[in-house]
Amino acid sequence: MTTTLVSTPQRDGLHAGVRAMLPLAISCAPFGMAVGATIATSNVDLAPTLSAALLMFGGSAQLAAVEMLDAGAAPLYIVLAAAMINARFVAYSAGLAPLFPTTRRAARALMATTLVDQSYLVTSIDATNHDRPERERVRFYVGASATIGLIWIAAQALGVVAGTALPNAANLGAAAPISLAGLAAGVVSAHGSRRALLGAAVAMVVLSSVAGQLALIAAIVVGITIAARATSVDAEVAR
Amino acid sequence: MTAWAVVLSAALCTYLLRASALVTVSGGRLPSWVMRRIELVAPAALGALITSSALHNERAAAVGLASVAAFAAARRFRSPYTALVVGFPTLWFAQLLLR
Repeated sequence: MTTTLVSTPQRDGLHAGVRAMLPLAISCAPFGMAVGATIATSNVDLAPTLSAALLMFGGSAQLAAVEMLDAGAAPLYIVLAAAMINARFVAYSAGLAPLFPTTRRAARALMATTLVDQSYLVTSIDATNHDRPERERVRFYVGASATIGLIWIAAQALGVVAGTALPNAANLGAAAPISLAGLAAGVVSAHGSRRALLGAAVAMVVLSSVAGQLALIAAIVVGITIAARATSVDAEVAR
Repeated sequence: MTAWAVVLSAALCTYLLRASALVTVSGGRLPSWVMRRIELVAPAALGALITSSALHNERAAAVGLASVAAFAAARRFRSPYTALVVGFPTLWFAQLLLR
C-alpha cells in the first residue's frame, strides 16, 4: 500500500510558518541559553524564573525580571520594567489585527499569547509578500509561533544546565542582530520602509542612553513618524 | 512566593499588551491613516531591534559590520539563511581586526 502526501493550503501555511521562523528561532537560542545561565546562577527559585520562559514568553523582560528579583528590587518596579520593555507589543498587536479580520476573537486571544518580535515580523512580512487566505495565514502564525516557542524553551532549559559553557569568543549573542538584518533585507523595497528602518535605527542610537527601558518603543515610534511624514511630503510634491 | 507573584503579574501585563488591539479591534477595520503607519511598524521595529541588539553586545562595532554584511547577503541571495552564513564569518573576522 502506498501513501501519497497531498499538499494542502493548511499544511502549506503551517510549513511555511515553520520554514520562515526557523533561522530566527535558531538565532534566538544563544540568547535563550544566556537567560537560562542567568537563572541558574541567580539566587531566585528556579521554578518561577524558568516558568517565565513560557508565561512571559519574552527574553528581555524575563532577563530583567530575573536580575531585578536577584537584586531584591520591589515587585512593583519589576512588573513595571517588564511592561515598559514589552510596550512595543501594542504596536505589533495593532499590526497583526488587520491580518486576521474574520478569525474568531477567542482564537485571536490565544494567538496573542505567543506574540513576540519574531512572530510578528515573519507574519507581517509574509502577508506583504504572499496573498494567503486568512485561515492559511493563521496556520502560518501557529507554525511560526510553535517553532520559536519550542526552541526558546529548549534553549533556556539547556542554558540552566550548561549555559556557562558557551564559547565567549564565538559571540553567539550576535546571532539576533545578524538574523534580524537578514529579515530586514526582505522589507526595505519601498521608500517608506527604508526610511522607517533607518529612522528607527538612528533614533535607537540616540535614545538608548537616555530613554532606558522605553528606548525601543520610542525608537519605533520615531521611525514610523519620520517615514510617515516623509511619505506625506512626497505625496504633496507629486501633486 | 514573591517570585511567583512577580512572574505571574508580569506575564499578565505582557499578555494584556499583546492582546490589546488583536482582540479588541473587531473585523480588523482601522482608519487609513492608522493602516499606513501600521505598515511601517515592521521595518521600524527591525531597525530599532537590530541597533539595540548590536549596541548591547560587547563587540558592537563588529556586530554592526556583520549585520550590514548579513543584510547585503540576504538581499542579494533572497534567503534569510545566507544572513547567518555570511554574517558570522564577517563577525569573527571583524572581531579579529578590531581587537
